[in-house]
Amino acid sequence: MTVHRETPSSESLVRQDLRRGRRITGDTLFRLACGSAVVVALAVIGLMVYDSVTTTFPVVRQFGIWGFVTGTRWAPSFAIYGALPFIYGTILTSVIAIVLAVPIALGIALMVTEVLPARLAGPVAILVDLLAAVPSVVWGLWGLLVLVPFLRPIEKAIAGSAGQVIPFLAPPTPGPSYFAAGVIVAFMIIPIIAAVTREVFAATPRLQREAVLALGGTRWDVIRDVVIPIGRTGLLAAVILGLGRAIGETIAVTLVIGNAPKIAASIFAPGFTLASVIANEFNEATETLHPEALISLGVVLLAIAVLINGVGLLIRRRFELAAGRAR
Amino acid sequence: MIRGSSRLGLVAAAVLLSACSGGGTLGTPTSPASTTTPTVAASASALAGPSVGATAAPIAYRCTKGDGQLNGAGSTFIFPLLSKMGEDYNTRCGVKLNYQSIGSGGGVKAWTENTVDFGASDAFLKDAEIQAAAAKGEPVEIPVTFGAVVVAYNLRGLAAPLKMTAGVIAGIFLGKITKWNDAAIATQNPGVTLLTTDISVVHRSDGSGTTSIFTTYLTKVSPDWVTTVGAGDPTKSAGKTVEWPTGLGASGNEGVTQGINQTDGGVGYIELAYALKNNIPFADVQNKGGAFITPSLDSVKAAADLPSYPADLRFNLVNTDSPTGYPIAGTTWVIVYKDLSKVLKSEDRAKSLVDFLWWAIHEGQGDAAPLFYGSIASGLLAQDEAAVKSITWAGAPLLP
Repeated sequence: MTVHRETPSSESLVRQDLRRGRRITGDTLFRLACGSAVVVALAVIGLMVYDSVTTTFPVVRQFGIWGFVTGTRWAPSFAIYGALPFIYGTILTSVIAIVLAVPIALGIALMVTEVLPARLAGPVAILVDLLAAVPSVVWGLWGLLVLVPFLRPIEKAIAGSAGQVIPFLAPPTPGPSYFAAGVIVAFMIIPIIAAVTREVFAATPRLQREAVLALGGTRWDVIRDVVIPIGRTGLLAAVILGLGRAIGETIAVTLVIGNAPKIAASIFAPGFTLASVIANEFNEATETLHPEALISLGVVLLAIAVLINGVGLLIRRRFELAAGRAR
Repeated sequence: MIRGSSRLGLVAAAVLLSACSGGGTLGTPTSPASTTTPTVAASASALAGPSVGATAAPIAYRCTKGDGQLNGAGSTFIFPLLSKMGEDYNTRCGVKLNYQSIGSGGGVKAWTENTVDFGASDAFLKDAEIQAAAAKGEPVEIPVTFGAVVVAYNLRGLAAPLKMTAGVIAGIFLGKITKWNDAAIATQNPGVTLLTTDISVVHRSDGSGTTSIFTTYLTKVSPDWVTTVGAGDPTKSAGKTVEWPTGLGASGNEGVTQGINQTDGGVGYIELAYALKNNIPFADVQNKGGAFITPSLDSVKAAADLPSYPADLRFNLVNTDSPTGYPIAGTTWVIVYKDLSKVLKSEDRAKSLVDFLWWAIHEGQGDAAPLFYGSIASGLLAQDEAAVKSITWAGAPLLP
């Protein structure tokens, strides 16, 4: 509380300075600089959205928004463009990635904040963070050269057993697939989710932890009753952040997904994502409406990203409200 | 990856070369807006790489420096060759070649929009593309190199290359032949033990001149291909992207090669140059005359050696009539405007461009074979020369 009382007094000092005209130039310059930075960022986003959306008009005229989004055939040589195979691929790979990444990232974060002694926790955290610095194309090549051959026998075994009953896991297993892409993306988003979650867990109030311990609780009780409930919102934010990265991941996915514009029930089948089809085809998009259709896919990707972030925001607000009421 | 490493090599070579010529008469080869013309003798002494023309009549090379640089864009296939040519030409003339390998379609677009001095494409211009550029003038299309597409596969225990007919290749890529011991393959390969392995097809996922050559071939030789892939329309069953009935998509020659190598029974199509550099096994393909031809620089050259060439140099090499020619061969064209006065800002730059093209179809061809590119056939050279000589500055020829 004392801290709060200090703030207005220092502010009034500044105001006195301002009245004397000593800091006006510096402040104005600072405000201008920050302001123009904001304007530039907003203008770039605005122009991008405007330009992309206007480019989609010929595609919308030809197929209609609904027709484009639900169209299942992508055949540039016939000037037929449907986005559904890519939307499906984007969502499926992201879901696979999140399902695999969240438990692992959560485990890492808990290990670092709750279990490991400080002299080990620091290096482990740094190593995990380093994973985030690996360039996408390196992940992709590693995926293509190492992970896909490694996963193939596993996929084959699963498809040969459980896949006989569950269409979701059905053979054939050519190697590059939704699943391989999901695994690669999982590796890429683990450090992001782990880093954010770690910060959230580390911010758990010490008093509450100690309260549980004082009541005779174990370390697990602390995690279950204090760390996770308090960190729920932050955890969700971390997942949304990871999801945002997952849906837009391009090069790594392109290398391991098999690039087939089809909708397959099995996660072991080759597919395509919104971002990877753009990367693949934009350079040589010379057919009728082809570049426009690819840009339209970009707009769809943008819409999905906005939707995910919006939903994330909503859930977060509800959590916060619920938390507020609980208090 | 190969491309990347060869590029690194070139950079290293460039550093070495510039280090060598630092105190020489060349000065700074990249300095812009310089109009000096270095003597050919001085620069020839520093010329790296093999030189052709020892047997041919001496050819005069002019060296107009212009702005000290030329910009091109297009075909990824020709990129390693143009990089090497660019280095050699820079050493000789002090003109730097900036080439962006953005793909043939992108190259044609950049040329149409006049953002580059020349475009390079693995397909000659379509009539619509010529019309689109009509406001800026007529095109001159100059074939500068030849390549081929091979059917590469991953089959264990094969001593000799497999023999494939057009029908077999079409059947495989249509998904109709699904096992390696299919009777259609076996009858052409007596004495070869073929396993019951599943065939798994890998094709390019990015738009590519390689795909264009391969599908143009399939369109020519297989009515079934045209019916299934193009719904009966041959313009839809051939091109840089087609609607593949089967298989995995992979990006680039590297991606396709990985896809083939990783799957027992994998098959795909890649550039001959890439396959040769990386020792990837590929099939002998039956040509029109019925002979099974091993893809090689010689059999590509035979396919490119036509009895006559059309005046506009827009020709197709696939399914060649030549008895020793490999049937899946293609050409890369350099595309420039006929009247450069409308598109380039100075006559010097136009001269510089024409000088480079003249050098590229003569001495520059020496760079082709070491990099596994097919060089210009003797029958074509005269027409290539005529094409370069037809380039003008407001009607006045730029070459003597």
